[in-house]
Amino acid sequence: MRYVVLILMGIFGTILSGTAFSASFDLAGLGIQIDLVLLLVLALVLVEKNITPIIFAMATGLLMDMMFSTTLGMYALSYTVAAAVASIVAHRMEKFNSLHIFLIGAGGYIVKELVMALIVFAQGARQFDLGAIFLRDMLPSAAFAGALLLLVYLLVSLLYRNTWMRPRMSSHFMDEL
Amino acid sequence: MGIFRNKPLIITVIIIIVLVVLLVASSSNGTISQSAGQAGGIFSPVQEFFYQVSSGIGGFFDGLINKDDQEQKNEELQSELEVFKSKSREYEELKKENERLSELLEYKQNNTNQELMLARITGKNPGNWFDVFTINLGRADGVKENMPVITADGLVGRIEEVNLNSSKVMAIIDARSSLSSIMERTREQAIVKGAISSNSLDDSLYITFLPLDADIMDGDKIITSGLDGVYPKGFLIGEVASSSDTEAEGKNVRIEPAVDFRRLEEVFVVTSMDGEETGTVSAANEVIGSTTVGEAAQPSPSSQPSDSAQPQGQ
Repeated sequence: MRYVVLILMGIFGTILSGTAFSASFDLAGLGIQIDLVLLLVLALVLVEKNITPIIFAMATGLLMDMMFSTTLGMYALSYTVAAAVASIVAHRMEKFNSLHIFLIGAGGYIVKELVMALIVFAQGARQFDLGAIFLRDMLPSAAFAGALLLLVYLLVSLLYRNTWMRPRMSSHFMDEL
Repeated sequence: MGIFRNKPLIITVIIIIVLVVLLVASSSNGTISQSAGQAGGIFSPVQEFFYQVSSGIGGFFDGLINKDDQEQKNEELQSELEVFKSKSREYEELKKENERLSELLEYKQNNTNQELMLARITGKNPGNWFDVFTINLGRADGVKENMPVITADGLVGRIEEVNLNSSKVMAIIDARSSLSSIMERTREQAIVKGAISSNSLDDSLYITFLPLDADIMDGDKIITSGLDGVYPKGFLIGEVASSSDTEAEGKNVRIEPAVDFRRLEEVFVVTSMDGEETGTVSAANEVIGSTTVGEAAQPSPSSQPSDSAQPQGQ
């Protein structure tokens, strides 16, 4: 049941990201992007202490690539790296408060965008002003992602109250280091 | 070395390495991403459903913003009002769709030299780094790579990847896009490029490295020249919004696209022009070589070149 829920979450998260949440919306002249898949990935990082969020990030990212992108691996890599970084950070925290969750949401968004920027740069798509994009585009969206992660984390942790959603065993890749 | 016995860490690193290899391989070899796209295409009907629903929700909120006074109605009439509002929204939605389709039909009737296929947009890649749309037509419908995609307002982009029942369209505002154009008024040629803007709400196109003495005025219409071998001549790209002079780069021109990319719902795929199939570079060049193209390609009355019979390359 746990895997069925995760698969459905991944499929619907991906479809909604490319349809209902595909366009940025205007908030006081700033373009805000909501990345539903990233929010789900980060929420899973916070509730699961194992490799499931990394696999989830890779699988949903690949699905996103297959459905909406023309470069396979672009979303998958950026989500996986963001999940890995968030996982390392989250593992160092004993308990989370709202500020921690907000920072993981905002930080995860920035990591994902920076990886995407790197891919775009490596593909030689075009020159772009990363500083300006960071200030005008990434930061507001990252702040929004941080705030939304509080809500998504709440919903996902409610889901994880069901025993069938919990993993049987849990080991984190930082445990043995 | 504990690090090598740490399975989760090793798996994470392997996943990242595999994804990097996949990314590099798919960037250099289109077949990989195309094969993956086929698999992704199975979700096309679900995508279409969600895209239509989300457009409807967007329309609903637009309606609420424009009808603030409706919130003041008393509670007794609230339920009746909800029914009415629901019907009204449905009507507005149908009316808008009807208007859009009428506009497209009118365009189709005015441009009988073009074989057009109506397609619905079913999704867009999220984020601001690429501008790729998915449409509900694919190889089974006769869509081929590099076929131009337009609306009655102007040029949208070209087919970048074709799957069985869906295709991906690279919009002209995508940072990888580059197309040959001419200024309608002065017949000056230029390369129009998409860009990654620092503001994701900005869909502008750009012309760079124009000579400083180039005659550019705000509002000048820019149309495709046909010289790039992909886009046939005469499609409206947009209008000059502003221009600035720099000694190092010459004149930089910002173009406002003719198409509103944030509100795209239906588009046309141009499958042939004057009986010549589009979609391949050679086919596109043949169309460009035809002397009648300049006269025939009329995306909209406003976009018709002032001197359409002018020979190519001038």
